Amino acid sequence: MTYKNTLSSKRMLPLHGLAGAVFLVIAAAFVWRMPSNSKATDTTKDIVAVSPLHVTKIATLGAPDPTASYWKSATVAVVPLLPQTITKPTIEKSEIHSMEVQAVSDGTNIAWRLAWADPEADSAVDSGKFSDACAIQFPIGTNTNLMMGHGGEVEIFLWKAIWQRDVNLGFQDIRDLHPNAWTDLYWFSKGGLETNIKDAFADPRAKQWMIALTAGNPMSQMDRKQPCEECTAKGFGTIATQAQQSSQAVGVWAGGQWAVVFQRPLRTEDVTDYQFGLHASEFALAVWQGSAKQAGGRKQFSGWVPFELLNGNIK
Amino acid sequence: MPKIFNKQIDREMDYPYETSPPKRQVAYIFDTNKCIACQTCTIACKTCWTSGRGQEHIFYNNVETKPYGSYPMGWDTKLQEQRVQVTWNNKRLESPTIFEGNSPNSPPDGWRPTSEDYAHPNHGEDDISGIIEKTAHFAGEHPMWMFYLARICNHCTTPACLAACPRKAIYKREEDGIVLVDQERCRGYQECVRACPYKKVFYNAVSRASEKCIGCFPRVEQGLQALCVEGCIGKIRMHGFISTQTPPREDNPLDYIIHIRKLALPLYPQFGTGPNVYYVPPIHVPIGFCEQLFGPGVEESVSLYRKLKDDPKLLGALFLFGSTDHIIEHFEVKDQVAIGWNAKGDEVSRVPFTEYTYVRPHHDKEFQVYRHNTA
Repeated sequence: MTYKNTLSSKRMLPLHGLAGAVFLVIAAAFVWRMPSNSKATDTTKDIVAVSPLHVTKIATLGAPDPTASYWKSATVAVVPLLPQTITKPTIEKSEIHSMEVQAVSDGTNIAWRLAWADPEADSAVDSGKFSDACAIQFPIGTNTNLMMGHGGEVEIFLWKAIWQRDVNLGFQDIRDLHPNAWTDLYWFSKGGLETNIKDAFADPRAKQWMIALTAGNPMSQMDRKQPCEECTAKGFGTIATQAQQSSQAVGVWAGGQWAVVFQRPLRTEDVTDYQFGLHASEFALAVWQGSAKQAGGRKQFSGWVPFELLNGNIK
Repeated sequence: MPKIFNKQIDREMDYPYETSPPKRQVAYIFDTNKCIACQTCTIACKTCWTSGRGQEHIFYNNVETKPYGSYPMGWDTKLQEQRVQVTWNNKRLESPTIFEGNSPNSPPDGWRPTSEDYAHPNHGEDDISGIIEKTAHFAGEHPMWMFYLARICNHCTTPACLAACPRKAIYKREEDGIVLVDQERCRGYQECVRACPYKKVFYNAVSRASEKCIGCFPRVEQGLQALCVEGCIGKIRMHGFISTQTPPREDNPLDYIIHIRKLALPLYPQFGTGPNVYYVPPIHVPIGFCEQLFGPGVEESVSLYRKLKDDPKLLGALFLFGSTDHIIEHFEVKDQVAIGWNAKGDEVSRVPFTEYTYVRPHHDKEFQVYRHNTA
């Protein structure tokens, strides 16, 4: 089996030595294969391809759906992942070794499906407890470093299992984490722990102790409509939630596998957004294993992977 | 990695950032000999700062019984178990701090508490160090011991939480050295919770961000002492500033007690974070145990404490504890009275060495009542 590096060398230039070495390993290793029912870690049916991942054209994209039939005919890229060891904090070994990526477009919207094997869904967050999550990153401008866009800028679509849980079942409250918890009093609130937090803390005076929420921290949102967020990053430690959100996502865990779909218009009015077809057609991935207490820089990541939008892809 | 001189371990040490001391550093002195673990401090703090949902397990201030108590569970022993043996050469630390000896891409050495670790804040409460043999109390003294250790954030000089945050969401204020988590910027990675050796940064599962003791900064900005200090009924605490960029001042009670007389000592100086809560160590506890907690100055401190009655200036400084809710910037001991002034020069405290006694007549003619003096 031979591999061919299909990535342009310009992406390697801004990387420092170690990052460059990691990048080369990834670039040399990613492979394409035709759709199959195999698990993400089963690479026995891999075939080598030299062309970028095709964004498959379909007639109409409805609401994001990881189980939609069009995914069965879309090209699959199996993208190898490496443990993040370039900046601290690091992980010592990968918990997730590869992800399957597919993309489809109807000319107006584009959807990305990320799938990976995970024996357990981790969707609760608490002290020492972390959520599964994944992200896909696109470069804005040129000379964009793989690592959070250092030296340039990237747009990141980030999905978290805890956000999916919030959307599916309502905001994760203390009683969801600790069913037998008891508290005598929350000042100015109505009802105790058994009362839903949004109803119990409707009085602004009761929110005095929810400082991050009051400060507008996007992590503290209680009425999340989407389990994802669009972020901008310009280097390590700079990820920031964008003011305008144009993406939708749905994540489903079944049979030991997560499948997450991000969906967005190919072009948006938001100047902070990556524009498909205008900016470089490359993506990179990251995935976090909640059970291994991964968050932030403790993650698995890929190198830049090229993709191809057919000429007729954008209406 | 930059080198920082850490006065508490008498040597340079590695720290991820170049730092210079803040203009002045907020500091506290807790006299363990006077604490009765009434938890008034805990409740004063809890009621004001951590009464919201998601903060049920969060105590910026707690009081635990040593040797067995700890909150969160085993906060100190768990870290010590994963570290090498601590060795001192006189006042100089020979063994590595939590910032040293790790692989180049590792944050400070730490561990992650789970929610179960916070579930028993009073475990070990009032437990003594061992079993007292039957009839031992007839002999008078027995060798068992315990003491109460009140704990808050140490607003460290080289904070591990700040060093560990990959987002630089934790900062140390230039004006007073208070360490804060930016509540707008934190994304809840819990690296600070893992790194803080004192486990005084907490994850809030409702706000999904980390939180910590804010040093009562809205009060400090008004020249007032923290709520845990003001609320202390045992008057074991003093809160103020220590000099950082100038030599310690004889008339600053904190400088005087900590740096000039060396009566109060940092908690676990071997961690290397430069904690700014200083403890008067318990005088009845085996020196070996105390040295493990407070470093090599314990014997000197205990000896000083035992002679306090003949040391009017030091005794007077201690009398100012709990005597005012204002931060005392200057103090003086004169004619058996300790006097404290705030930053504006207003007298905020006056404590006589011997409390005034009033003896009232048995029969109060004005109200036509009889009073029974019990003193």
